[in-house]
Amino acid sequence: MIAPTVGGSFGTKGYLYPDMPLVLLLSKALGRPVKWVDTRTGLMNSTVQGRDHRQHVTLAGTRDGRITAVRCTSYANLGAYPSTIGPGVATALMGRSISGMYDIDAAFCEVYAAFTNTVSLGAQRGSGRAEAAFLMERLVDRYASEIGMDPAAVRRKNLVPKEKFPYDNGLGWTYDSGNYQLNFDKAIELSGYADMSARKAEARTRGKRLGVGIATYVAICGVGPSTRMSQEGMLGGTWESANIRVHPTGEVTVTVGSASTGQSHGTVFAQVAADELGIDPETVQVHEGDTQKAPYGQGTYGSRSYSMAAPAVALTARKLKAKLVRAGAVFLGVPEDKVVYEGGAIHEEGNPENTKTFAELAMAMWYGWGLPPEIEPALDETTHFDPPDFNYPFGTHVAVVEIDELTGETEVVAYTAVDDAGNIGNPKIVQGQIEGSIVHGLGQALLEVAEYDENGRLVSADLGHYALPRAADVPFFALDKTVTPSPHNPLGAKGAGEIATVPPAAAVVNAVVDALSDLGVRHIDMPLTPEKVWRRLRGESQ
Amino acid sequence: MILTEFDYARPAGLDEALALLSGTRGARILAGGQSLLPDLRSGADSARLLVDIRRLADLRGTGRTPDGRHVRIGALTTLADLAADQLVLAEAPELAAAARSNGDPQVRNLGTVGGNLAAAGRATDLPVAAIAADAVVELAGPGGRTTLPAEEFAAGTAPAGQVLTALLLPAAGPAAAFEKSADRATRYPVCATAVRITADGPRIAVTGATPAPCACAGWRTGCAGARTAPKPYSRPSAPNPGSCSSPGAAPRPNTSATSRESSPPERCRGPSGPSPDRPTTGPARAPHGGVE
Repeated sequence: MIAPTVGGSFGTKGYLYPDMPLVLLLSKALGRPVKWVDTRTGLMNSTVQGRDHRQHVTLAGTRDGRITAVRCTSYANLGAYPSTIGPGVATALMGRSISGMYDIDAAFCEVYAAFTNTVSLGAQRGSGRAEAAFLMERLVDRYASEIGMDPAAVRRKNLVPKEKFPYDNGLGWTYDSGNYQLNFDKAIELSGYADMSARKAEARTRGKRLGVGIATYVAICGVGPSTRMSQEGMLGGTWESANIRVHPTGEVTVTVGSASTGQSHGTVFAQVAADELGIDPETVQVHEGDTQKAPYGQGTYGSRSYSMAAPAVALTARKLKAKLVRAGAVFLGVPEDKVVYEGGAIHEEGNPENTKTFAELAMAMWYGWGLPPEIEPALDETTHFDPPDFNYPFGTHVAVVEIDELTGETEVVAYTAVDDAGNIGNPKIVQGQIEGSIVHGLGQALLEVAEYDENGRLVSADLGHYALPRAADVPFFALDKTVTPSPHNPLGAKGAGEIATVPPAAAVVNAVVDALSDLGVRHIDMPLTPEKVWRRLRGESQ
Repeated sequence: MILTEFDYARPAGLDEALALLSGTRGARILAGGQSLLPDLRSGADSARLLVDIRRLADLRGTGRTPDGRHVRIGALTTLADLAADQLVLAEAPELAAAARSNGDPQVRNLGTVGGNLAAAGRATDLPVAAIAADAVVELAGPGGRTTLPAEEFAAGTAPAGQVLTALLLPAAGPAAAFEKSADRATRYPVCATAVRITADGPRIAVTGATPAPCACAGWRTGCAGARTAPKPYSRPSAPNPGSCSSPGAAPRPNTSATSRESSPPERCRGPSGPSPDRPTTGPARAPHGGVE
């Protein structure tokens, strides 16, 4: 199978859709190439949709703000048919994640999956975890308001202490590493949370109601440990692979089993290989997407590539380095423990004159002359990486909204995100992913909804009826990070691509409810359209 | 992809264009193509002949009328040019603001004043500003040139086979404004209001919340006259009185799950009195004779 450049998936392309086998079947039947072309409306009616739970939750806590228990019964709409991973998203991924960053003694969640006549449910960027974070973070705000405490203070009080890691959340996840207090405090400070009363008063002079909302999250990533995934019902391995071939010129080809849907594999995997080997990233090419040439892989989804495929690249490079040290002992004429690999070259310890560059080594290995029988010629290594456990990125987001008292229009005027994805490969790429993720989440909160009419027809079936957020709909974000490496892969990496999609919906709804709290508003269902907010401004119930 | 076959003509002059329009069934005017081409692609319109008027340079640009009291805007002027036009910014700022608010940069770079006015059934932004300004449209037909108040043109009263050549507005100075609450998917107005202060008092026009762009009744005494007994806003299934006198006019939902075209074409009571129903579907728009 050859998959050329594929556009953004955001969870929706890791599926066996009916057109795929149909095209293959037709091609076999006709003996000719067959091409499938769909329309936007066709895709809206067939591509998996996300979220869609009816959650019933109870939270128990003390009067001084200590959460002691949470219990959730949720009904998830799987649509008309179960999609490839829809049931897992709706159940395990959501249910095991509901306690988030909080240290809760008794946490319980059950999910009932329901078949309806809607488009099938599947993964949508942040899937499962966003549903869980929305539930928990809305609940914490309700709890804080009930006991008359500041929502930030309640959250701070219940964060999992950093000495408790690895932390068993009691729902099936063992959080690998974290420093939630550091992350939380950084976000609260960066957002100017302490000044919000003054800002609210100032906004009222302009006919605006200002509200602030916090949402924290833990987003399981790094699918995954194959044995652990089999216990979740995954029929197949979930490891990841990489091959590195060094050409006689010293140029390097990295071939990975996963394939990019816009995650910048070509840049990032080249950087990882170049960093490990101490060579110029310009000399590294990355190939993927052709099953005849690539090692078996499992694919790009769930923010897994940098904590699954990149470690495979790094481990392969380390195998090559180890081989070059062994072979280098022969080429330099010194014992192996005197060979130093540094800066893309080897030299004899204490004698930098006795050296061979990476390109010289590559050529020598290609010839293979003079190598002892235990060292194979050529430089071509493959690794299949299967981690011991998942990784758990986390973060704290703070949304500030202004609601127009006349029109009910909600504008996100400030947004702060402090995310922790462990060690990051390429900061610019991750920043782009974080920004895109936040916009995606803001779309869920304010605009996006799959609407069906009374006959079950999808009416939001084109982009004239399905509102997507645009650049002008969002503010510039205040972004920062904390770095807590994961112990479960050699790069200390955690997932990043989708994690910032998890909290924005909760942060924005918390902010809007905060802005309307003096009217007795306790909750508004997403999306927060101007009409819904306008009605609440006039005292109508939901 | 446009699946139907059609002919294409690019006349060099207005007379030739008018001859083509009157001599061919299913002839459509092509200017910016921002309404017509999507309709052809979707099958909502099936033109037999596209009369591309973009070579009619006389229809482009702005200027004062000889008496200096009106601003004349050529129908082929793009929305982007209109939004940045110094004369329009000075003398009809509500129109410039409406142009700036309409669509996105690609639409504004291609879309024309004439097309925008003629496509009022799509809830474009210029008609409401033109109505508040008490503007008239200039139409060229086989019988010569005529003018029609912008509100009547928006109501679809122009006869077929004509070409909209210009929009004429009284010069107002800065005492005018345009505001819009936009549908988040389409950027069409959920409600857009244009206001112009005149010697007779404020003129106010509304679109989006009303089935057609219209001047507020009673504007001569201030718009309060139209709002003496507003009933509460009701859900889209129920009648929406708003500031419009017509019963049964449905408001547009926020993300327009029901398209505007499905609303019954009702008329607002405006200063010009009752007008016939406005054609609202794709093919029916063409008899406007406007620049598409």
